[in-house]
Amino acid sequence: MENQMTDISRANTPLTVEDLWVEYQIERGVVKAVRGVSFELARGESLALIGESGCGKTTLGVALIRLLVQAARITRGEITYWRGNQGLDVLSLKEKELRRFRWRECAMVFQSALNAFNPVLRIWDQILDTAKAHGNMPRQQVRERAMQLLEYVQLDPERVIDAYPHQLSGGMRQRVLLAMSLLLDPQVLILDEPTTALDILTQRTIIDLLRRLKEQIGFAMLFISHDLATAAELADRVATMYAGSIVEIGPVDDIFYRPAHPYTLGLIRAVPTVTGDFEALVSIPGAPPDLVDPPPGCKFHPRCPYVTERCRAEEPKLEAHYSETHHVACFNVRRVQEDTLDLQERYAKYIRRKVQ
Amino acid sequence: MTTSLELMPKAGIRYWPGRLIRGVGRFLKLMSRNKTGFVGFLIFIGFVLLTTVGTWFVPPATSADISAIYAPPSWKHPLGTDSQGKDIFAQIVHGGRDILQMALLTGIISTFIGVALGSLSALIGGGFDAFLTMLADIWLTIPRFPLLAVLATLVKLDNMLFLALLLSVLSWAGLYRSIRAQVFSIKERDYIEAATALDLGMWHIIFSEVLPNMLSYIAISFTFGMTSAIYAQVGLVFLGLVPLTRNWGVMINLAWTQGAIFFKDSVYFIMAPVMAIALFQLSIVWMSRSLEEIFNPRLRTG
Amino acid sequence: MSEYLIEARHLVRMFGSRRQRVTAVDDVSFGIREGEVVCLVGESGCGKTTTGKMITGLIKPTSGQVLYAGKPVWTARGDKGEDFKTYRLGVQIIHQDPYASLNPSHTIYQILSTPLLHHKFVANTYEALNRVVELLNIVGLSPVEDFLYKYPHQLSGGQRQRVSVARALTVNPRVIVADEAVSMVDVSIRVGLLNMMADLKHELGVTYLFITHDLAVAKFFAWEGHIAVMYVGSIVEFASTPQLINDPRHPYSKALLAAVPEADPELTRSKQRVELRSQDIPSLLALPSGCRFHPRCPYFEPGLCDVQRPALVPLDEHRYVACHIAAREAGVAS
Repeated sequence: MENQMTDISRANTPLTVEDLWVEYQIERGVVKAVRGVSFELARGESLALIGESGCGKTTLGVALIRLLVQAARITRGEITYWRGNQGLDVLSLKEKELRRFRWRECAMVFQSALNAFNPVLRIWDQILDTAKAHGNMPRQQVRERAMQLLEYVQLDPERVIDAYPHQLSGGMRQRVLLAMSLLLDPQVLILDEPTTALDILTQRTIIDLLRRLKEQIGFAMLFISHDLATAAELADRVATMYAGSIVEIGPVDDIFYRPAHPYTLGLIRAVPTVTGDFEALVSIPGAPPDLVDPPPGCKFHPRCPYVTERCRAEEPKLEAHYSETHHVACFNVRRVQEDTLDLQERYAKYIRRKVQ
Repeated sequence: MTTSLELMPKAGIRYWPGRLIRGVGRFLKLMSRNKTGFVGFLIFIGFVLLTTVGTWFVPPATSADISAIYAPPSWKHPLGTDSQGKDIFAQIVHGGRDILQMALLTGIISTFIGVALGSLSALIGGGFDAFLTMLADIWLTIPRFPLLAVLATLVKLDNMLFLALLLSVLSWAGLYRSIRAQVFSIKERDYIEAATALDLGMWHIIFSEVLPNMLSYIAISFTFGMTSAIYAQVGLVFLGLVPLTRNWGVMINLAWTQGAIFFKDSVYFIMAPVMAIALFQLSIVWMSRSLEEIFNPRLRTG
Repeated sequence: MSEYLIEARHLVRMFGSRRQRVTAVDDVSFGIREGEVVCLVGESGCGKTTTGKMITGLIKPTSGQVLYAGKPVWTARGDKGEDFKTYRLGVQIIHQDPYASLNPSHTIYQILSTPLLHHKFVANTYEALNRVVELLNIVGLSPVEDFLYKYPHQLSGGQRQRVSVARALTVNPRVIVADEAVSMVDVSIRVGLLNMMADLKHELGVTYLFITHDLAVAKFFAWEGHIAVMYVGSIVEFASTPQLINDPRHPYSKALLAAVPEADPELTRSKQRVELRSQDIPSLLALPSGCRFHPRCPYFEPGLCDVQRPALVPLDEHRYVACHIAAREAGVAS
């Protein structure tokens, strides 16, 4: 588990986020949707951001390309995209520069693949529009590249390029969106719930495709999901979000077999695997906090079985644990740890089987 | 466990005046949530008071006064006088009741027809629905006002109830269609299916599950019915097809035939009824915004 | 007398006009014993929801019969007879969308007391309140005073689903059809909801038809029961849950289990894939000949699978499969 890379030089990190805060105004008050999030995204890696609805994961994703809704604003922090040693400070960009930056540096694929298309335009027209809005590639070149990309995502380019969105199935539309997002060769790809609305077999083709994209093209991928299974399948690293903050981040095996935050452990205990024997599941009591008026101290403490006096008063910071790459925000890591012995045992068994 | 008695809904105030005051207070509070809607509501109430209570205080302008033809506004004549020297303000006060009553009546009748036919059509479905839909489609192609004008020359339209009924019947199709669509969409919702599975019966489903979720829609339809009734009625009166006296429409007609648009002095004569109608219509449209919010159950939480 | 509390016999449901008819459910038969769970799994459009609604009596089958406590539900008297009424209240449904399944203009107390009073399960509002409080406690909504006079939109998704369950329980049903009842609820809340529903099985003896697209949820909820896998309107495999999960026989079930990602990185990495011959789900308007899965099936045998439609045949006591190849391997005629 410790053999993950620790040397993250700038040339290899196309995206760094530093202490990001996002708020938005609703009738009742101010929702603190993202509270002090920091992370780095390395080339060729995929980071899964997991959490439940309302934890701020989608707000964070949208903030990274500055597509926030009107009522929301970034109150603090830095988002930087790196090309070589040249940093691009996203928060200082003007509207016009922003348009160039989106899709070129960073493309985002949204959850509802149908709504992302204009229903009256053919796929080709939409691709051309995207290309035109972001650069001045000649028409012929756009066409060639589009055909290439559609083929790459395992679609029949001749058939798809002149189709209307409604003529394609959900999985096909999702693949077209992926192809489109690659059009301008971005370094970073953000995917919001890429497989959620899809059926199992379609989901599988998308997952396999994403893995191939990551391995062959080698860009950095951030995907946002509530589904632990997708994260287990696709991620190199996993970040758990709760109440607007990252509460645990680390290599995927660390998160699944040695979780150190009670919330991460709670999620793992609440999701059954499909194959294998029956496992009793434990639910997390209570409900996610109100982000207008969050509890004091650790935001998870009202639902946490390990809660102490300190948790109620003080909010723990994200700190390295076990290794330089695994960070946790919890005061009771040791006690959580004692309860993960079965998971560690399971992991050891897998490793033994592999060695044999 | 808590004893159930403590959980009973709060009995509230038992004698009716207290309840009424509380109810009115709650209504006003909800109305005032939407500022535009509340302003519309106040203007509307102003008009209602002016044309009802107002008639007790302002004597009708019956006698002509040759010494004061086309007098400008003054303390004695707040809106000036007309071609016969009659007070315009008095005519506005006394000439609004017909219009208001007619609008209210038409609104009620047309809403009733629209809601009854629309919901029955959607809930019964089948041939009944197909027949009504076809009828409505044909009906909508008939130009309403010219038909009304022709009818007015054939039948004597001096009975207000009859006129309101006629206006409602003529306008049933549009309302029927929108109510039917609305009921169709509500009918498909899961909670209606759950009520069916719980065997709660057709009456319960219509009155308890469907209608409460349509109140805001019905309120809008009602105000819409009112505004179109006013236009139709004023139009008829203006054309002299409906023999109603002392009415804003009659005033416009009179001002028009007296050539009021040609004289600068007579501007109040023609503008006063026009403005009264326009302002009244505007108040209804604005008020409907508040009504929409009131009947939205998401806001009824207080 | 049937051994099943609720049974589907050759259910067929067609939709559409005379000119263009599609068969959404094509000859589906299965039964559920009292206190048991049967889980209907399949991808969207496979007919599982339509089947669920036919079991609940909300959709009348085009042909075939639903049997409740051994008696046919659809008789010459349609939905008017006394038996139909017993059945109607005996089978209740829980919907998927917690935001659409409760009437937004009623309070929780109104929602729960209406069926109680309407069917005279209670004599007066005082008794109704007592029963409502009891029901809210059963579904784990306590303290009850926090919920009684709330409107649905003031509750979270998980809480609303609990109210839906309580509403179904007002009429003391023997069967609950749960149509994707937990799929819109967050992960951390989901298990609590599932455990509560499982408790009803033990405490009140409720029988479940549990419809889901999520195999992990199906496994968890129906471990002691059966799973029926549906594909394009028909059941392709029906087996006890552990058998189906760990040793699927129909190629489609195999493909599903091989494709589903697991919340366990090593497990998911080590899975054997089943490569399908095509990704396209057939349209109901142009169904393939023979076995409906044959254009995608990796075990496809020309001249057999594309000609003859396999019947659902028993391989052993607990397992039925509709596949020529699987039947032959087990030495059974398809």
